[in-house]
Amino acid sequence: MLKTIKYELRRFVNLYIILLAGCLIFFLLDFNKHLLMLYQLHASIIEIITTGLALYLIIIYILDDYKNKKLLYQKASLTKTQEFLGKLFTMIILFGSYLFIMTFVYNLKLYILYKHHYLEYLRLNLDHTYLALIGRDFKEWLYPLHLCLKNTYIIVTLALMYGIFTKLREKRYDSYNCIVICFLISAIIYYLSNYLVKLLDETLPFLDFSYITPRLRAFGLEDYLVNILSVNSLAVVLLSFIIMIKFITKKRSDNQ
Amino acid sequence: MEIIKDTITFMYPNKLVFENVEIKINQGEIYLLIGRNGCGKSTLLRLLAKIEPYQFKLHLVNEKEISYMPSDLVYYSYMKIIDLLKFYDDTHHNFSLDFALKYLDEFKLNPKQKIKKLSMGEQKILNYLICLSKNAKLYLIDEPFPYVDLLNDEIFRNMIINRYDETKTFIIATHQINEFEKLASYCLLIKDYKTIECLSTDEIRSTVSLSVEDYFKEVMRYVKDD
Repeated sequence: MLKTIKYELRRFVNLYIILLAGCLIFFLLDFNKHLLMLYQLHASIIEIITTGLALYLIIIYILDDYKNKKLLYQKASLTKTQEFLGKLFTMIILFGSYLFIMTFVYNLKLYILYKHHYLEYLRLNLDHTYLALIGRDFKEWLYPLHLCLKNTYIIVTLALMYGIFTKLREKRYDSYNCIVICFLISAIIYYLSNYLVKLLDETLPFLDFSYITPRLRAFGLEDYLVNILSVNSLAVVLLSFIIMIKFITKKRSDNQ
Repeated sequence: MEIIKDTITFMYPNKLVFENVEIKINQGEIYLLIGRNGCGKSTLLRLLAKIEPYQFKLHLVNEKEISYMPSDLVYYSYMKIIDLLKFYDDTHHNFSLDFALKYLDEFKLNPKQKIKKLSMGEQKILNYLICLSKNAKLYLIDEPFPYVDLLNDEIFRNMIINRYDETKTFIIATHQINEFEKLASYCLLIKDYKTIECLSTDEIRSTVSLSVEDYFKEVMRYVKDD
């Protein structure tokens, strides 16, 4: 698995450096310090880029499956699980570390401003941006961790759904049945992750997972149903899109 | 001894490729896989390599002991030649880096060159080098020769001779029959979706007094007219 991570990290290191350089330039730019909206916008940009990076990685890996790139590991001494986990951890390492670096730089900039000019003004007006952590208590420093967990949850769910979908197709299931089965399995994942968050909340209250995201905090049956639909709709849309591409662009065997 | 004996039926959504075709491959032989464009040569190799979801019955050969050379090169865009070789050395237990480096030198390829900047011929050479650097029991080689110059052709053949022993089997799909005719002991001729004929190359030469290439042309002309 470590071998897979090593080569997969090298594969994306250029993109990662470009995004980090963008982050630093962003930090060095001298924006008008009175336009608070810009700082709110920056926080949104960080979230969008991080989520975008995670989705980009998963789409690249799915597309690899339809190109000959899958052959790189085909006869390798690694098992398919090692390859899968290696790629999954690569994604988590890349977007997780990016989120932390971006958040650190963003907050450093805010901290400098906070120290020199806008004390209470900045602090009060950046309340609703998850990434502005200045002058707050310890728990709020965990926002990036929560954001990272939220993205990890989406990535893991998508990756598992895709993995299950591929396995089911290999076993000759109809693609629409596959979507339904994937959807149900992701619902189970959702239920289990909620349970895990609840357990974490009880056992490690100082980490304050209550902030993690509303979707992972819903424990009523009704909330479950609503949230399952909303969380999985993105995954199902993506999956349907991929299936469409697959049938349009790639011949596959329909016999055994 | 047979390593493969099976009857294949295989189709893509809109195309029947093989229907109840019998195939038998013996251990320790070099086979030429020939046939017209689109007749299923590459598909057959992919089936044997277990890339397509089809369960071939393999005897004496483990799935990891198959070395498959696809017709195009597989790599990540950041990779230099040496990176790709190290990747295979790291992830494929039967890959011999020394063997690869030795022949890399003979082919006069610079290990520090970026793969995406290689010419088509150089990419073929690298692909071929990776395939033969694995100590496998079954080598499946798809179109090794297009774009490659005459001197490198010679090295190619030497590589196969060096790798060959009686436990190893080679199946080479090619249109350049003359290049491999002397090397191969058998010829798998895909006539149509129902027939794969297996002929000994010596037999072709002695009984019909034709080279394999000429025999192939005659047979295909007959199949077309039929």
